Parts: sequence; C-alpha cells; structure tokens
Amino acid sequence: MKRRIPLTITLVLGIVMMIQFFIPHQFSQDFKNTGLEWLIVMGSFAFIIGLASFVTHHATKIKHKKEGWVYSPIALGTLVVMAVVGIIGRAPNMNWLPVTVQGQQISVFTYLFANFYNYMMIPLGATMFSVLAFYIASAAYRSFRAKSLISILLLVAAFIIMLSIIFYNVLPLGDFGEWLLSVPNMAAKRGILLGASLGGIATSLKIILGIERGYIGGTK
Amino acid sequence: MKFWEKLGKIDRRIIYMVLAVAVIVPLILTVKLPSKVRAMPRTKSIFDHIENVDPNGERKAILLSVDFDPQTEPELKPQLEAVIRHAFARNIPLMVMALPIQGTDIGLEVLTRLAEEHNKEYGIDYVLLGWKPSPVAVILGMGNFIDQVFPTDYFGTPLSELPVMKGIRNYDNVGLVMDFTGSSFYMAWVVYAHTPYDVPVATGVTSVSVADIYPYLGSKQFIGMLAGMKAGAEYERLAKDRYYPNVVVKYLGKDSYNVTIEKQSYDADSNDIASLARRFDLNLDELYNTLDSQGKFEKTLVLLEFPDTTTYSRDLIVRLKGKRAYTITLDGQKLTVNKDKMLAIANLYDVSKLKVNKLLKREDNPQDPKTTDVERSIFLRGTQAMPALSASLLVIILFVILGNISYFATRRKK
Amino acid sequence: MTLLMLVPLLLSQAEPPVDSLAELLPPIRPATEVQVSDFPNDEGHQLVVRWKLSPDDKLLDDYILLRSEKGGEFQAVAVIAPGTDSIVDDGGIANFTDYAYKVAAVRGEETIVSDPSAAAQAAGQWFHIGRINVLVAMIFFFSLVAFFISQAKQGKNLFLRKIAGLEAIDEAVGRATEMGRPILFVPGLSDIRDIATIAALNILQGIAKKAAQYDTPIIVPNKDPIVYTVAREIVKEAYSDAGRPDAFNPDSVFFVTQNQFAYVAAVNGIMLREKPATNFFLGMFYAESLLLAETGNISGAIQIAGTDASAQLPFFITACDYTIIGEELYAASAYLSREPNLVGTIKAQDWGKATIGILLIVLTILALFGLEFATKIVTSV
Repeated sequence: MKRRIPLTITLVLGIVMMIQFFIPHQFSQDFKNTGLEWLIVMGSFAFIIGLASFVTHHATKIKHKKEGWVYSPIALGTLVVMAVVGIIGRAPNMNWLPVTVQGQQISVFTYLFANFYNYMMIPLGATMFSVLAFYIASAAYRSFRAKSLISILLLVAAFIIMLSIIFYNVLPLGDFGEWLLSVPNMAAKRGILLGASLGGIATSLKIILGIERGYIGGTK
Repeated sequence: MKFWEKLGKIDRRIIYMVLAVAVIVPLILTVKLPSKVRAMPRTKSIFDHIENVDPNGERKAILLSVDFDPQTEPELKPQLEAVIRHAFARNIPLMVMALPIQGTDIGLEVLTRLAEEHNKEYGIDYVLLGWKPSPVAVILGMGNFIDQVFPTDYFGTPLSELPVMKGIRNYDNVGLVMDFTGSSFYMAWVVYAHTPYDVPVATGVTSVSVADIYPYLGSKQFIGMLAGMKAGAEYERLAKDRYYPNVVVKYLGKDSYNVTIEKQSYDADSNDIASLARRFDLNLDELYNTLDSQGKFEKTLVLLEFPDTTTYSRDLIVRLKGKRAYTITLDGQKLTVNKDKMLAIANLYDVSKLKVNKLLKREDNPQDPKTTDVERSIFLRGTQAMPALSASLLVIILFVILGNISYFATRRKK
Repeated sequence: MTLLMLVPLLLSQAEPPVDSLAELLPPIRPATEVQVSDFPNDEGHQLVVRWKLSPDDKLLDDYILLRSEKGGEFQAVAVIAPGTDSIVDDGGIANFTDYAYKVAAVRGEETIVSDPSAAAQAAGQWFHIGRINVLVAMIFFFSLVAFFISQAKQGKNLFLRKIAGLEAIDEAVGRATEMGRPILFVPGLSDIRDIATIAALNILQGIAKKAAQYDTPIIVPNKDPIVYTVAREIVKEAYSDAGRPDAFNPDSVFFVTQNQFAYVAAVNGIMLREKPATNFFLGMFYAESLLLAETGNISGAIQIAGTDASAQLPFFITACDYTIIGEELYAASAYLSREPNLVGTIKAQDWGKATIGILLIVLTILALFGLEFATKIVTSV
C-alpha cells in the first residue's frame, strides 16, 4: 500500500503530462501551470524538513560530543543570525534601527545582511572554488601516467590544449589545439549527449510505468 | 633508484606551494605585453560580429546578460569588461541585464566604472535593465517587446524615457545577445532566443565548460565563444589594438604610480589653452597661474601622481567615486586637480610622447588613436592575469612530466 | 516680346512655396492585402496578422496596427517597424470573438490606412500538429521497450556488457566492512527532478541494503531537502529489508545546506574526520566534483563516481578508482538487479540509439542531395 499509492500517482500524472505535451489548448496549459505552482509550494515545504534535519543532526552531535562537535553550535548560531538578519533586512520598506551608510539611511539589518553576504559568503565560496586550481595540479600529477595507448593519447591531447592556451601565437600549435576541440571533442560530446538523452527518456519511462521503483525503496 | 621513485611521489603540499608561487609572482611583477596577439577564431568571430553589427548605419543594440555570480568572477569579468569596452568604443547602444539576481550588482559595478573611463552617459549610451525572475519567460518575452519584460530600468525609470532605447523594441533591433555564465544559462539563450527569434547569440563561459559549447559552435547556434580568462585577455587586446592603441595599460599591485610627461618642444599659446577650456568646459585659472606669463609650456616637466583608482573591491570604487583627485606637479609647484583637468593637461601633450616609469608601458608603434574620449590609461584585468594563468599551466605540465619520468625510470629498473 | 519674357516669370510665381522637403515627395502608398488568421497550435488568445508591404516601405517611419472587435471602431494596438510584414497579436484577445485589422503606414505627419481585413477568431487547439514527429518517435520507442520487456520475460538471455564501475560496488562495500569504517554516499548536487539523481538513489538502495547486512555504517549528506527525504526513506527501507530495522541510525542521512561550496566544505570535513573507507559520488555534479574526489583521495578511500555531467567526467576519472560514465549510470539498476523488466528497457535504449544513428546518416545523405525537407520533418517541434 505504502508503495502502491506513490507509484499510482506517478503513473497517472506521468501519462497525463505526456498527453498534455500534445495539447496546446488553454485547459491543458492551465493544468500544467497549476502543476508547476504545486511543485514550488511542495519544494518550500520540503525545506522545513531539511531545516529540521539540520537542527537535529547538529543537536545530536553536541549531545553526544561527537568529533568536531564544537562546529555544530557555530553552524546553528549562524543559521539563526543569518535567518533573522535576512528575513527582517530583506523585507520591503524595512527601516528598523536605521544607520547611515554612504549618506543613505538603511536598516541595520539590511546593512548587516549585505555585509555578511559580501564579506563572508562570497569570499568563503570563492576560496572553496579556488582550491580547485591546486587540486587540478595534484590530481594531474598523480594520475596522468602514460601507461597505455589510450592514456598516452589523453596525455598528448591535454598537453596540446594547455600549451595552445599559453602559446596560441605559435601557429601550428594553436590551430591544432583548436582542431582537437572542434572536431574530435565535439564528436565525442555529441555521442555522449545522444546516449544520455535516450537513457534519460528510457529511465523516465521506467519510472512512469513503475518498472523502476528503487528510488522509493525496494524493487518488490 | 631512490631519486626516481621520490620524483613520482612528491608531496602534494609541495605541488600546492609551487603552484601558489607560480600564480602570485606574475601577478606582482609586471610582465611585458606581447606586441601582437593572435586571437582564437571563436573569440575573433565575436569581435568581428560586433565590428559589423550595424551595417549601413542601422541602429542595433547589444544585449549582455550577466549570468554569473562572484564565485566565477575572475574568469568571466575580464570577458564582460572587454566586450563592454568594445561596445562603448564603437558607440553601440548597450543593454545589460541578469538572469540570476547576483548578476545585477556585478553589471552595475562594471558599467559604472567603464562608462566613466569612456565618458559614456547612463540612459544615452547604455542602460541597466536589471533582473526579473523566471529566465525562460524573460528571454521569450523580450522577443516580443523588451519593455514588456522590463517596463522600467534597474533604477525605476521607464524605458521609453531613455534615449538609448529609442527604436530598440525587441530582438529585431538587437545585433547580438551575449550571455556570460559559469553555469548552463547559455542553453536557455540558444533555445529561447536564438531558435525562435533568430537573433545572433554568443556566450562567455568558464574554461571548464569549453568542451560543452563546441556542439553549439559547430551548428552555428553560437556565433562565437569566449572561453575562460584567456579569451578575456584576447578580447581586451583586440579592442585595445583597434580602438585605443596608444592608451597606457596600467597594472594592479601598487597604491600609486607616477607618470612623467616630458614636453619636448611644444608651444602652447593662449589660443590652445582657450580651446581646451572650451572643450572641457574648464576654468583654467589655476592652471594659468602656474604657467609663465606668456602662457607657454616650453621645457615644462609635468609630473602626475594619482592614486590607484582601479581595485578589485567594488565598494572602494563607489567610495572613491566623485572624490578622485590628482596631484599634479608643475615646475615644482603642486596642485590638485580633478580628472577633467588632468585629461586636459594630458591632452596638451601628444600621448605618444608619454614617458612612463617602469610600471607603465608605452606602445611601440603609436598610430592615431581611433577614440580620444578614453581615459589616458586603462586597466586590463585579463591581460594582467594571463601570465599567472600561463605559469600555472606550465607548472601542471612540468609536474605531469616529472611524474611520467619517474614512472618510466622505475619501470625500466624493475 | 515683353509678354513672352513674362511667361516663365509668371509660371515660377504660380508654384506654391514649400515648407519642408517632405511636401516635395509624392504621397505614400498604403500596405495591402491585410489578412488575419488564428495562431496555430496554441491555447488561443493569439492572432496572426499578415500584410503586403507598402511600395514605399523604405520611406516609412512606422506601421501602426489597428484592430476592431466585433465590428466596432478600429483602435491602434501596436507600432511596428518598417520592413515587417506580419505580427502575432496577443494583447487582450478573447477566444471566439471576431477581430478585423487595418494597417496604417506612417511617414511624419502623413498617415495612410489600408483596407480592413476579413474578420477572424482566435481559438485553442486540442492537438499540436507540429509535434506529430515527437508522437511517432515516442510510440516507436515505447513499442521497442514493450517488445524487449516481453522478450526478457520469456526468458531470452539479453546480453549486457561488463561495467567495471558497477562491478566494483560490492568490493567497495566489502572493503569498508573489513576495515570497520563507514561508507559515504553523495547523491549529487541536483534536485529530484534530475534523472541522474533518481539513478543515484536507485543505486543507493542496493548499497544501503548491503551495508545493513554487513552492519557497516553509511553516511548520506544531502544538498536538496526533497532528495534528503527520499534518501532517508530508501536507507530506512533497506535496513528493514535486510531484517535489521533497529540498526538504522536516523542521523546517518541528513540535510546539510543548499549552498554549493558550503556543502562541499561540510562533506570534505566528514571525509577527513570520519575517514570513510569507501566514497560514492553518484548523480549530478558541477564545479565541486574534483574538490570532493581529491579530498576523498587524500583521505585514502576507495572511490566510485558516476555522473552524466560530461564536463565533470575528466575530474572523476583522474581522482577516483572507478567512474560510471553517462548512461551507464541510468543502466545501473538494471545491471545490478538483472530484473527482466529493467534489462528490457536497456536493450530498447540501445536499439533506439541505433535507429537515431541510422536516421542521422540517411538524413545527412538526403541533405547532401539538397533534400532538406526530410530534416525539417524530423527536427520541427
């Protein structure tokens, strides 16, 4: 029963949406738009579940004093501060506790939100992203070994592309790099794209027809 | 034998350190610009398209969509700046918008700074449309009427009141749509702008997405692509070499720098001064006071010192805005003037005769500048960072070679 | 004699003085043959107006579209640039109501209006004719799936090639058990609508069941709240399927954050603190792929990655022990369970691909001979 209801909903709605694709009539468009709105509403509710999980996860960590538990109060504290500052500070026409910034009167919450975002969120994100450069170097050093014909090809192609970026002015090199990207690379990309698209359609079909049911637990 | 084995097991921290040095050193040192840059065809095709965007003088706008957030700024901002510079240099009406909300802040900052550099005015030469939710609806809607999607600009002014929007109604009046993105927004522009409305579309992406774009370049759905910081640097040079070859490229990393202008034999009479005053609408009393009684500039040595006004921090730019002042030393006398006057003074001298100190570089073959409205020096973000990118790639290549040498050496031993 | 000399003088005086250049030009001619029809394949509320350009099109400033509802007065509804000979009017059109149109040509102060069009009505359609090709392809593909499922059910042996990444899953779970360390499972960074996410969750089911049997802890951090809910249910079910519902630790499946790089920081922290013996990165990944995989490599875990994000594949291939590429990920549940229904769809997929391949070759050959209509039939939507 627990599995049959979701599977039936999937089957019915899947087929209805498939038919909807072929009907341009107002009635069918309204149906589709309502469905999309429901999706947004349900997504918002799911966020509450996520929040609950976040809080219990960290609360358990603090309770049992698990390794690295000291970070959990920080995570919970930031959650509360950012939520308060964000909800109040981003509200329209908000002017509680005004401060003067560059000659303009804005709420201290708005000011704090902007500063938290610009000077904490952004640099932290950018730092994580830039670690990528170092990881690329170490991963390339470790695994780019000319062990077989295929890995030699990969290695040579990678060298040509990297060198063609640095020395694009050197004629045959730059053009060869460009050729590698625009011919063999494009062909491979298109192949993967075709395969993945068809695989996607087949998987969707399996889900709609209830053949694939692992994602709701159990194949029975 | 041990050495060869060790070569294959270099600690990753050493690799990180070498890479860090390779990135930081070229950023600090000023590396000489190559005299000629050959742009990749995918970059050049966008440049050529913008060069011919208005055949027969037809008024066509360029629409730029800033679809990236600060995390991918280092790669995409040089591209955005270079294309905006090109549009400004050619006096093409420019519209800037964003699909994700973070893009508007970046767009505003870049536009404000570059407009000042090019003496462009908001509403007349360019407009910031802002951001609206639901990307697909926005892109499709603009094919109908731009002012249907954006009834007002970012600041709330109705589009109909902005001279720049005159005659620009939808994609029919747009010569190029270009999207800059670190994610997959480019797909939306192909599917919902190019396919139904047949408007030329190009994209600027991070290096990691380059391979993904080629199928669309092959099918001519994109007229071109700017790939990573390299393309930004290429485009900066294409625009600079074409439109302001004599303008000095300045570099980041110093708080202030000195420009020494040496006047060789130039007689500036009162007519010159008067015409300059008219041109820049200046009261040149202060300037006159420092000149000799005949108003001649003969054998004058001018030392310009101005604070570094370019910086990565967008907030600093805003804070400095309107407060820019330049200290000029004329014959040992110091005086503080604003940017316009600084321009006027610099204009008195042939730019090609600029003698600059180590930090700045003079172009070797000065031609007539195509546009004289540009500030005397510009900061090219991508060009500055290019040596660091090249160095980091060389470091990666070096380590891969070391790893392979060790691999083959130890295998032979076995 | 004097009179004759006066004639040209009189003639020149007879010419009226002109105020502007425009008055010297001949009057403009109107647009003609204005036609209106319902916009095809829509929900209604749209009409297409077409006209023949004025012969003086190049001299015009604008066209103005005038509309009359139910035979009423004509009112201006749109300003259209010269050179345009059709427009879709979607401004406040009611279905099943008569509308007629006129097109006015405008040059300066001068305006000349065309004859009105015949009236037409807008209506919604019940079938999108342009999508017949999609319908045909869909029916064909569905028949293939049905055929191969029936073949599989009849016990026909359908061959599936070996996929190393999927073969290695058992070994990887076993390794974690031997070492007495947990398994980390990252179900990608996308939402539940992504097929890659669903494919990953399908694999999670099998892995969780094995983990439950061997009593090996499994950690599933999530970026999307809905994916979190589903993943939690799957792991819970797997534990009861394995007959050990009490062993399920509700804290092992949890939601982290929706911010991409904050999520990466959290997962990397788990890898370095808890030192899982096996890491699975399955689903949709973006720029964070190498950040995760390389940290996993540092922590010394055996790693299996799988994604259909082709740009991230090189990163996974360099940093992971096994990589499941593109559609191999979708095939995973069939491959692991060998259930006939699932294996049948994989076969259908392969035949679908072969059909597309053949179609591409045939259409290319036809297009080479200038027969591009065939391509248009297939590609139009």
